Amino acid sequence: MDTVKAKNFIIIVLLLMDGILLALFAADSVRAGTAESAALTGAIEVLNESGISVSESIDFSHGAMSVYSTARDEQLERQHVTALMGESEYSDQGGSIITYSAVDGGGEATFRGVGGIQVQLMDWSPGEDFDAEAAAREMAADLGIEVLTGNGTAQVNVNENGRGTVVLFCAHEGVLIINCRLIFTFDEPSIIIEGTRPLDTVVSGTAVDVLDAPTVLMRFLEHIRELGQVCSQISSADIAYYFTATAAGDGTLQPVWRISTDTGTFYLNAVTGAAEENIA
Amino acid sequence: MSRRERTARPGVRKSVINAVQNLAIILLAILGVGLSAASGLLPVDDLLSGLRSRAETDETDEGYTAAASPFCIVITPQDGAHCAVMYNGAELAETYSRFSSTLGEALGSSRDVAAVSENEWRSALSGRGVYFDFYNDFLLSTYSIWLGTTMTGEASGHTARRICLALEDGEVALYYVRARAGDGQYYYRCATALPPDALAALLESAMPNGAEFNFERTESFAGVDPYFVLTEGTPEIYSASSYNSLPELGENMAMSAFGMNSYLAQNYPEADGTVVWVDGESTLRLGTDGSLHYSSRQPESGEEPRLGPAAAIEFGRSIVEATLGQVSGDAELQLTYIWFDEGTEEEPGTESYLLRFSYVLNGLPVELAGGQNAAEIRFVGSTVYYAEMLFRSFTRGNSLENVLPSEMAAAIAESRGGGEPRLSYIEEPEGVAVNWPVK
Repeated sequence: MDTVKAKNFIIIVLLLMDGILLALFAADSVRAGTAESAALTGAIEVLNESGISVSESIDFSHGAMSVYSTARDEQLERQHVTALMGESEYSDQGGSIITYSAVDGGGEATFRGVGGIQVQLMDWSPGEDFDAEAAAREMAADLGIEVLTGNGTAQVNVNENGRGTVVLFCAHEGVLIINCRLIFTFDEPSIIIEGTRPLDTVVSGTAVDVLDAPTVLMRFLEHIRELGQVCSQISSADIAYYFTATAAGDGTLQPVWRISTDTGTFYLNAVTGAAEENIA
Repeated sequence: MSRRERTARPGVRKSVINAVQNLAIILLAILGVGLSAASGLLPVDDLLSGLRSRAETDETDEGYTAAASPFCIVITPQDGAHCAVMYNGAELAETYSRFSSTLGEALGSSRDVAAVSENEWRSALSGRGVYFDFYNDFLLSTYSIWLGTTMTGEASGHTARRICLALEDGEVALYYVRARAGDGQYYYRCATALPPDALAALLESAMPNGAEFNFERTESFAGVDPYFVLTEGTPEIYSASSYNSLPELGENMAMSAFGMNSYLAQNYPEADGTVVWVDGESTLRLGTDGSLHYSSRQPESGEEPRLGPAAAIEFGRSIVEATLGQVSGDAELQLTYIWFDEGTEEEPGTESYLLRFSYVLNGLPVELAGGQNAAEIRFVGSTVYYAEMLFRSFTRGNSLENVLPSEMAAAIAESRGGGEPRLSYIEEPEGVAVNWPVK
């Protein structure tokens, strides 16, 4: 019985302690939210004073972000090529460049360790009710490449004869990878696929604390002042990934803030705030 | 109900209560820890990052770190219109990071090597493409290993300091100058499997900045290296200072780098202030001027497994990084020379490597007093038997130096008989100056 009473006492103490901690946490959260909101308002005011307006529709919220290491998996790559164009012969060109030639002569594909991809499929015709975007998405799926889904996430420029291009934007867990895209060119009798993929597998992911919105806005202001550039409005700001890779087939997905203005798009490393330039 | 059942029921009830209480305590404790962490009362982030960093250091990196990088990159987006990136460490690093994987792919996929004329080499330099000048010769296979690929074929055994990727006739060709060729064939071309669009896309971002090679001038500077790059205007070079950084490394670290046991080593001072440490057959002399001399017995034939060039460079680089690299300040160390002594018929077991490293500050080479190297290391297998180092820490200043424009430097070199002017930091007794010594 004494044991029971002792445990009851412990439970009551823990309940009290957890209650206090919960109250502290709630107060902290409210305070942090208020401070963040005030900081964002202040940052927007500073930008306004510098002649730059910030669109009210911008939502600076984002999910948890990580820096991912990706790698090439040649076995997986062969499976994807087979899914796309059937059995193929493999030829290692050196420099992590591999060429696949369809056994039936139906196509040829080149995959590079840095993520580059070029595919040519032969003997194609659009057929009735041809949906270029759907066809492109199906081919991307065959290649094992995640692309943005939903309305407005593809650039379609195809005429009624089925000729034209479709551009799909690569993504990781639903987040855009800014420098990875696939361009499908439909030109009977061939389809050409060109672009960059973020490699085949995610090897590891390290959670990172990304810069908050006020800090990003101030870094942006500092950056355009250094460049001597001019802009009058920030129309959107969101977080995306930026892909880099070595010739060995080791890639990295790094979070970046993408800031769109009336004079161009700017990219800031989401962890360090450093400007990322020369992003194609 | 039997007596047994009556006594059993309170026991079961007590067990249930006990279990519920235990569960409640555990859950409340976990909740408490979670709320403490969320409130910042517990340094969970520090603990996790510590565990994470320990895990990361446990994962050994089996790749090779590049021991050298280019001092000059010339991007040619259009025929005859160059964008030279030189004399700025940050710009060189950023530009090289954009082109390095492409260079690696080109080296790794190179084939059909053939000697070409100097005119063909010059045509490649002037046409669309990108040119790299590492200032020092290295094996092409070593470059490819640094860039994450492997190189096979005849060209892998060639050395070069000047490499060009040229876009021509719908393909990317690899050109290089094999200065050490003994047969008079200096200029080479290889085909590559690199898609031309891949290189073309990288070239587009470069804005021509008026740079030109000496040979492209209407009146080139006679006697001056034809591939000396003349840039517009005056290079913006910041001042620098240096000091003896050997005391910052410390004797124990120095001994540890060469496998000496600091607990067992004996020491004595010399008249000039040099401290000599002796541990068995190893001797380490630490001078008051920042000099370090190490000597030990050279291993006998068969004692040590032979290292390939890339592995030897990585070994030497790691020693230099563990010593000079720890206290070099704003400067970094780069490999400038590698030589493999295959031994002689009389002494076949004397195979050894000789590596030399120099300081590089903000994209410029640093010349030390007396033409000394920052480090010279000789080793057999993984055993160093001789090393000479000069410890300096360099600090980049905030003021700009008065530097001659490249055209004036070339004119002066021409008047003095030619050569290759090379903008460098020069350590002098009065401090660190900037000048154009001629090579």
